[in-house]
Amino acid sequence: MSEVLFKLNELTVRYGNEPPVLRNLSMDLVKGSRIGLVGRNGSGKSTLLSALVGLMDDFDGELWAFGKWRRDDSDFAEVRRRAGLLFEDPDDQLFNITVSEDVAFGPFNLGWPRERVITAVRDTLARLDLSGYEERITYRLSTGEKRMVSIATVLAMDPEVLLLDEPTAGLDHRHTRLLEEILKQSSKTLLVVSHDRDFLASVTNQTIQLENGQAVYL
Amino acid sequence: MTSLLLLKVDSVIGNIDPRARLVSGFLFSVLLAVAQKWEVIAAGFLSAFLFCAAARLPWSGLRVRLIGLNVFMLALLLVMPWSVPGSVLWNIGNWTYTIEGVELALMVAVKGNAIVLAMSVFISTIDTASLGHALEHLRAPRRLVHLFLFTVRYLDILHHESRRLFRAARARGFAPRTDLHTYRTVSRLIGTIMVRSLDRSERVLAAMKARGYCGRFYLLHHFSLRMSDALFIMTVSVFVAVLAWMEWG
Repeated sequence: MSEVLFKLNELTVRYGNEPPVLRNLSMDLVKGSRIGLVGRNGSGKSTLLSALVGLMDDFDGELWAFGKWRRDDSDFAEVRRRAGLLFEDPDDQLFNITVSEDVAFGPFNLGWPRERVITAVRDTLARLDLSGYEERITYRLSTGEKRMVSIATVLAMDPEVLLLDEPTAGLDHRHTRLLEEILKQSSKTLLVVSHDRDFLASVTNQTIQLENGQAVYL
Repeated sequence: MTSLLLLKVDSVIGNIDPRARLVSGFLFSVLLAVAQKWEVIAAGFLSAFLFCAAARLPWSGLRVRLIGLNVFMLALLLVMPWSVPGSVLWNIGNWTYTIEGVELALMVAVKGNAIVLAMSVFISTIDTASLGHALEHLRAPRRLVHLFLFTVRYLDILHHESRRLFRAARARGFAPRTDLHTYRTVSRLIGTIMVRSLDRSERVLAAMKARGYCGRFYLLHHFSLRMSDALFIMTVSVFVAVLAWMEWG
């Protein structure tokens, strides 16, 4: 039996007084699994990813992550260091002025020494075909470039689990293939939201559909 | 947008350590602000002007600043002499416009111009990211530095967002006029920008937390002082020392 990294027990998440987006959702995320998350617009895919790292302040039910039940913001600090979340909108993700500063932000938060951070920034940018972007200004990049840099900010932290929200949106064919290759070669646990079926088929081997706030295994 | 803050230059000043420039601009401004003697203020103005010329600052950028400042100074010249006692130049009833008042207003104007020139050459030539980092290295309050950096970062995004919204409105046939429909639409667009900004700030905080942020920023780049920086610091120090000696010596 593989190790369970995330376990959701009757998780219910709502925004304000709206009807819940996730309703008594129960599911496990096992180490090494590679899951594609699909569902209609507004079905709660992004909400689920945020909830997994404790960014939905208000949730009912129980959430187990990396060996503990987690409830408060402080419980989730460790989860966020071990699971990398890629946001759907790169403008939310990138807030430093230069690319290298933004990629270095996460690794510094992990407490890595400066030399290791610098190496991680350089290597991650090189892997993602972003060498030479170090001093570029993040908000002046194109949408696709911003997406690649956002991916770099997550990969640079070398997380055990990747939670990716629409990672290929706005990417050209070449960079979609590059990302596909990187994800296929990594042994990390994956939970990927995407509307790109070919991409999902290539990097994941299971699919979960969110329907009426519940998880349906396909 | 950021061109209002930043003067692009292509001269030696651009290579001087931002910390040295920041401190120079600060010292120069404080000295000029407290100076009382005309010869000190004039010498300060002249040296600030010389620094600008030496750094080959673009005249167009300077002009915008100086016009803005001097419109304000003109207003000061019209108003201030009425409230300073001294020998009367004109009077309207009990109200007197005095020579001492004119002198004081002129002094403020020359000081103001000198300080704007000094700030332009020393501080406006630092790009915003380096300015933030230099401030942090100089132990400026961290919260203020981050507020500054975030403001610069998100000013641009807000600007784009508002342009995008107005473009979307225009695409559906909206043309601004002076009527109720225009006011209503504009107020909705502005309201939307505010709500979106708030939402965005929450999402950005979430993104920061997702990458392990716990209240501290780390700087990737470190500055190091070089020979040219030392020379620059010495030159500015000599100017500042001479001005200070003229004032108090």
